[in-house]
Amino acid sequence: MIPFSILAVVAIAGALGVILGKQPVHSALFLVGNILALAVLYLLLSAEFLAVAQVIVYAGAIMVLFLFVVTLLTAGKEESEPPEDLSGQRWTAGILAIGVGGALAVLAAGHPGPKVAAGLPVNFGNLHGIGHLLWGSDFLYLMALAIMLLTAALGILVLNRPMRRTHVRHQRRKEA
Amino acid sequence: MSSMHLMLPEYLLAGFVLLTLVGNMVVGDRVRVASWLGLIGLLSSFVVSASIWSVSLKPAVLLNGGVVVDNYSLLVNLFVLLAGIGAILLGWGETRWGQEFVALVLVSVLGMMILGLAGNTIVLFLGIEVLSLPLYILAASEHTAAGGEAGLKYLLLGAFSSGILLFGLALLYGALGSLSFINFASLTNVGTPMMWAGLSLTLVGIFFKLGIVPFHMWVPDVYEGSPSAVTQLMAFGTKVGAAAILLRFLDFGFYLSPQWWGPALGYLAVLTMIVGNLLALPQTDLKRLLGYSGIGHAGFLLVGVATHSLDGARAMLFYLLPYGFAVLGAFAVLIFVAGNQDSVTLSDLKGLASRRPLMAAFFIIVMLSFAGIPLTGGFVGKFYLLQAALFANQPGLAIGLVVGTLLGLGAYLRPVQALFSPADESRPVPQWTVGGAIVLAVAIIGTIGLGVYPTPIVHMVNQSANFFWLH
Amino acid sequence: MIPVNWVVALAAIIFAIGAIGVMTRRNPLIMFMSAEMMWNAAALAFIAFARQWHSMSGQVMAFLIVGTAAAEVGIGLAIIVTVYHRRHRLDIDEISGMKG
Repeated sequence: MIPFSILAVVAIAGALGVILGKQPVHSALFLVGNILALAVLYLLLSAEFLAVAQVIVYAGAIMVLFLFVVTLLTAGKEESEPPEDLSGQRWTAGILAIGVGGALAVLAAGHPGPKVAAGLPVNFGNLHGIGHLLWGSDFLYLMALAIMLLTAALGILVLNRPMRRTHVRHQRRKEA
Repeated sequence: MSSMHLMLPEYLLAGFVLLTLVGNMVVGDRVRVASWLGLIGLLSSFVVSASIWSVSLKPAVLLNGGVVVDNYSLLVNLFVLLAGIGAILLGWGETRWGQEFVALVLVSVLGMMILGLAGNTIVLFLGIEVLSLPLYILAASEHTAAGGEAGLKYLLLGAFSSGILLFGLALLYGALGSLSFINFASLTNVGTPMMWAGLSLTLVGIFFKLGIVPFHMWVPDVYEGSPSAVTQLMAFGTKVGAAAILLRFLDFGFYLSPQWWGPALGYLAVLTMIVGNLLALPQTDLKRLLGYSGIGHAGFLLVGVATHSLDGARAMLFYLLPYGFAVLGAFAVLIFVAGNQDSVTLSDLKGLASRRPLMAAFFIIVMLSFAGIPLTGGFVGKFYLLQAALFANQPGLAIGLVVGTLLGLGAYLRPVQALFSPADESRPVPQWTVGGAIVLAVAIIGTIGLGVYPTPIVHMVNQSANFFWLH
Repeated sequence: MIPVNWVVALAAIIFAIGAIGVMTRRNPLIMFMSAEMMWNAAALAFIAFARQWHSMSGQVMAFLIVGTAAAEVGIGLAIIVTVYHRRHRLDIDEISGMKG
C-alpha cells in the first residue's frame, strides 16, 4: 500500500502541475513525472513490457518531441501567454469534470472487482506474453497501428510542405 | 469462406494505400496517377464488397470475436466507399491539398470500414483512430489560417473525445471482464454502477464523433475550415461509420438492457433534431449551414437507434443513403460555385438559376431531399423513421422528428430562394468540372431513384440489418 | 499486491484532471498534453483491470493506446507548429501590405 500511495501522490501532483503550469515547458516536465510514476505503477501491476514501453515511447520519444516543439515555438519570447479569462462556460465545464471524476473515483474505490481464483497465467505481461498475442492472434491490430504511424509520417510531410507559388500569389491577391 | 476472402475489401484498400504512395514516389509531382490509383482501389473494394454481400448471408466471426463480417458490415463498406469515391472525384486534379490527399482519404475510408465490422472494443477504438487521424491532417491541409484552426480544433476535440471513449471502454472491461460485444450481452443482466458509468462515457465518446447536440460545438467550425471535398467525407463517411458502430455496439452488446440507454438516446435525438435544424436557420455560410444540417440529420439517425427495434435499425441504415446522396450533391454544387475561393455564402448562390439552370435545378432537388419533400430519397427515409418511432410506441420521437423536419424546411429553402435573386455580375459564372459532374449526376439519380422506387434498396437494407436477433 | 480498485480510482482522478485541463486551458500545447493524460489514465485503468481479470487483452489494448498516442502526438504537434507558423507569416504579410 505504501508504494502505491507514494506513486499516486507523485502521479496526481504531476497531473496537477500539467494543468496549472504557467508555461508549456513546465507542463511538459510535470507530464514526464506523471508518466514515470505511471510506468512504475505498471510494473507493480505485473505489466513489465508496458512499463518499459511507457518509459521508452512516452517519456522518451513523445515527451522529447513535446519539449522540442515547445522550445521551438516559444524560443526568444519573454512574455508568458496572456491572462486567460475563465468565462462562465469554462467554470461550468470544470466543475462538471470535477464532479464526474470524483463520482468515478468513489465508484471505483467502493466497488472492488471479483477475485479471479486462478493464479496469473504464465508469461503474464512480459515480452513473451504480449509478443505472442501481438504477433499471433492479434496481428491485425498491430497492422492497424502500422497504418496509423504511416499516416502520421505522411501527415507531417503534408503539413510542412511549403506553399505552392501560384497559391501564395492567389492568396496575396485575395488579401489585398 | 476464409477470413482472407471475407476481409478482402479491407486488405485491398490497405494495399492500394501503399500503391498510391509508391505511385506518388515513382511518378513524382503528377497528381493524376495517385487519383487514378485511389479511384481504382475504392472501386475494386466496392465491387468485392458487393459480390461478397450477394453471396454470403451467414455472419462470420473472426479474430476471436474481434471482427464480425456480415451483410451489415458489407453494406456499411458500400456506403463509405461511395463517400470515398465522391471525395476523390470532387478533389480531382486539385493541387492545393498536396499529392497525399488521395492516400489520406483511402486510410480514412479504411477506418470507416473497420468501424463497420468491429466486434470488440479494441477494433472499435482502432477504427475510430484510423478514421480520425487522416481527417485531422486533411482538415488542416488548406493553406489558410482558417484551415489550420479547423485542423487544430478537430484534433483537440478528437483527442478529448477519444480519451472519454477510452476511459469508458476501460470501465466496461473492468465491469464485464471481456472486450467482445457478443460476450457483453449475457453479462449485462446484472447492471453494476461501473458498467453504467462505462457505457455512458463510451456513448459520449461516440456522440462526439457523430455530432449529437451537447457535443456538437466543433462541427460547424471544422466543416467551414476544411477543404470542401474533405468536408463531404466528414459529413457522409464519418456519420456512416459512427452511426454503424453505435448501432452495432448497442444492439450486439446491450440489446438485453435497452431500458437504461433507450430513453436517454431518445431525449438526445429530439434535442439534436430541434437544435441542429434551429441553428441552421440563421446561417449564411453554405458549409456552416451544411454542418448544422449534418447535426440535425445525426439526430434523425439517432431516432432509429433509440427505438431499439428491427424497424428502427433498418430505417436508420436506410436513412444514411439518401442523406449521403444529398451531401454528395450539395458539395458538388458548392465546389462548382466556390471555384478558387475557400468558402461559399448564400449571396454567392444568387443568380445561379438564370446563369446555370441545370446546376440550380440539381441543387434544388438536393435541398428538397435534405428537407424531406416527397419524391426525393429524404422523404422516404424520414417516412421509415417516423414509422419505426410510431411502431415502437414512442410518440415523443415522432413529434420531435416532425418538428425538426419543419424547422429544416425553413433552413433549406433559404439557399433555394437565393438561387432566384438577381445575380451579382462581378462574380464569375460557375464552371462544371468532370469529376464534380459525375458525382452530381450519381447523387441526383440516387436521390430521385430512392424517392420514386426505393424497393430494391429497402430490400437490401432489410437483409442487412437483421443481425441482432440471430443470437 | 496493490488493490486494483484504488488504482482505478487514481486513474479516474488523473482522467478528471486531464479533462479539466482540456476544458479550461487555452494554450493548445497544454490542452493537448492534458488530452494525452486522459489517454494515459485509460491505459492505466486497462492495465489494472487486466491484472484483476488475469487476462492479457487489457494489456494489448494498453499497448495499442500507447502506439496510437505516438501517432496522434506526431500529427498533433505538426498541426500546432503549422498553425503558429501560418499566423506568424500572416502577421508579416499584413505589415508588408501596409507598406505597399
